[in-house]
Amino acid sequence: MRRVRRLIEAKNVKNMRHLLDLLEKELAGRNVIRYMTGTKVINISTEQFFGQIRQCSCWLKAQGLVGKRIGIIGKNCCEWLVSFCAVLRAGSVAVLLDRELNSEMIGELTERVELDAIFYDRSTEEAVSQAMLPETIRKISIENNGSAFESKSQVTENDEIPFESEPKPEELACIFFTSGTTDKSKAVMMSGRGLIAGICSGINKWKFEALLAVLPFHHLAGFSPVLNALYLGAEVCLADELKYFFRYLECMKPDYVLLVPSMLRMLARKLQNGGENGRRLGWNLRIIHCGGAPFCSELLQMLLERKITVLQGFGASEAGGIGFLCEMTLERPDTIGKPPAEMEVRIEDGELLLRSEAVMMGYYGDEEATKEVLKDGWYATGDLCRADDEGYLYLTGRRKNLIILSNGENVSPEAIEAKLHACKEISEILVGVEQNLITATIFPCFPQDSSEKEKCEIRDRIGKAVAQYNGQVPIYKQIQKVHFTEQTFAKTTAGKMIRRSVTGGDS
Amino acid sequence: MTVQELNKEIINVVLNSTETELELTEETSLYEDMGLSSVEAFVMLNDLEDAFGIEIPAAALRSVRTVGDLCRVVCSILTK
Repeated sequence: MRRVRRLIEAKNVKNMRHLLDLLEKELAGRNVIRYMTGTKVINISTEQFFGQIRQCSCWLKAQGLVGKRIGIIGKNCCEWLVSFCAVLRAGSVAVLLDRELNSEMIGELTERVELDAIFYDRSTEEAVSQAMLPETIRKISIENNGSAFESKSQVTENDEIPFESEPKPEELACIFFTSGTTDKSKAVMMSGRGLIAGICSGINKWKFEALLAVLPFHHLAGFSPVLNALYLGAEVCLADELKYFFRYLECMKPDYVLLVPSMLRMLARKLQNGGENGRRLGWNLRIIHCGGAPFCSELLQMLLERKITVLQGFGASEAGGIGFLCEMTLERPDTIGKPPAEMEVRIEDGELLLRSEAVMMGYYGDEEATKEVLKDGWYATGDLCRADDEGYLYLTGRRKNLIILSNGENVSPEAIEAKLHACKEISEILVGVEQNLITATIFPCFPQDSSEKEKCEIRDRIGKAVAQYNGQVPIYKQIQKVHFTEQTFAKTTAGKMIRRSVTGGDS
Repeated sequence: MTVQELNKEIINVVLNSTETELELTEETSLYEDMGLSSVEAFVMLNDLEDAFGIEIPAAALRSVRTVGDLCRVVCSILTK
C-alpha cells in the first residue's frame, strides 16, 4: 500500500485546497472510503471522492458561497465529508454542528456565528426546517445540493473554472464547538494552517490500513483523524449509525478504531470471547485508540492478550489535531505518554500548557475566554499534570474544576472522587464545596429491589469509606458533608459529568 | 402473538444483548438500574432490529427510559 507521509510535509502545503489536490494525486488509483448500505459494503475510489469534492466546491462557487460561513449538520457519511472538504476547498468557513441539536439550538448557533448557509441531511432536515433561521440563510441538502451531486460526470482539473483567489492559511477555516462541562459551549476557531498541521501529522507507525470513524464528525476527534488517516495512506470506514457498530467491525473489517471509554467497555465485553483480534467475531481489529476521557486501564491486559495494540489519546479541541498518542503498557497504564515531536509542552503551576501549529485561533466572539487560555500560542489545557523522571506525563485532575479554599489551598475534586471510587457501593460521586467545606454528593449503587433497611446499610458503609478516606488526608481535604442522591448526575453528550462552579471560598 | 408474549421476547433480546444479570421487568430502568451507557443502548437497537426484522430510528431512544418504554417502541413499529 502506498504511503503519503514522506511526500507531503505540512510546511510545504499552501492551504487546504492545495492539500486536497496533493492527497488526490498521492492516493490515485485506490479506494479511500468504505461505508455500508444495509449489509452491503460500498467502496469509494479516490477519483470518486475527490471528484465529488471538486464538483461540490465548484457548485459553491457558482452559488456565490465562496468565503462564506457554511454550517454542516448530519450523520457520519461520505456526503458530510465531501461537503466539509468542498467548503474548505472553496475557501469558505466550515461550521460544524452537532446532529443531535434541536431546532432552538440550531437557530441560536446559526445566529451566534453568523452562518450564510447550512448543509443538512435527511436525519437533520426536520430540525433545520423548524429552526428560526433568517430568510437569507441557504439551506442545502447534503444528498442533493443542486448540480453538485446530481451529475454523475466527474469534474476534472481541465473542466474546473479556477477560483479567483487562494485561501489564506492564516485565516479562519473551521469553527467547531466544545462540549463544555461548566459553561455553555465555546466556538473554537481553527485556521487553515491549524487544520493542515493536525491533518499532516504523525506517521503510520502501526501500519494500520483502515480506520473505523465512529466518533461524530462535528467533533475535532471525529473529522481530523479521518483526514489524517487518508494522509497516512489508510482507508476510512464510515460508521453513520452507532447501533451498527458491531456490524461495521464484522463487515468492513477495519483494523483500527478510535473510540471513547464507554464504547471501549462495550467492545471489550464482546471481545472477551472474541479471540485474537476478535477473529471469532469476524473482526480484524489490531489497534484501539481510546480518548476523550480517562482510559479504563483495567481492560488493558485483556486487550493485549487478544493481540490488540492499545493507544491512549489525549488532546483538547482547542489544541487542534496534534495531540498525545501513547501505546499503553502494563508498566505504565496511566500515562498519556510523551509529547509528539510537533508539540511543545510546559507545566506551569501544575497545569499542562501546549503549543503547536494546530492550536486554535481563539474562541469566536469571546475574547475574554480566549485570553484566559491562550497566550503567545500557548494553550492552557486546564488539566493538572506531572512528569516522571523519563518525561512521561500523567494527568492528575482538572484546574477548571479546582476548588480554591479561602486558606489558599487548591483541591482537585476529581482526585478525591477517584479515591472514593474504590468503594464499589458508590456508583457516582461529585465533590464540591459549600461555605468553604468540601462536600460530596453520592449516588449509591443500590441493587434492584433493595429494601430501605438494605439502602441504609449501604449508606452506612459508604459513610465508613468516606471516614477512612478522611483519616488519610489533611483536614482541608476532608469531606465534611455527604449528601445522598437518588438520581444520576447530568452529563454532557461526551459522558462527562456537568459540574456547577466550584470556585470555593464562601460561596 | 399476544402483547405479553411479544414483551417477553423483547426482554429476552435485551438480556442477551446487554448480558445483564439483572432480572428484567418493564419497570427496569435502562440507565439507572441496568447501568447502560448510551452507546450500549444504541447497539441494543440493532439486536432488536435483527430479532424482529424492523428498523428502529436512533431518535426513538430519546423517549426511552425503561424496558417497558422500549417494548412500546418495538410494538408500535411492528403494528404500523
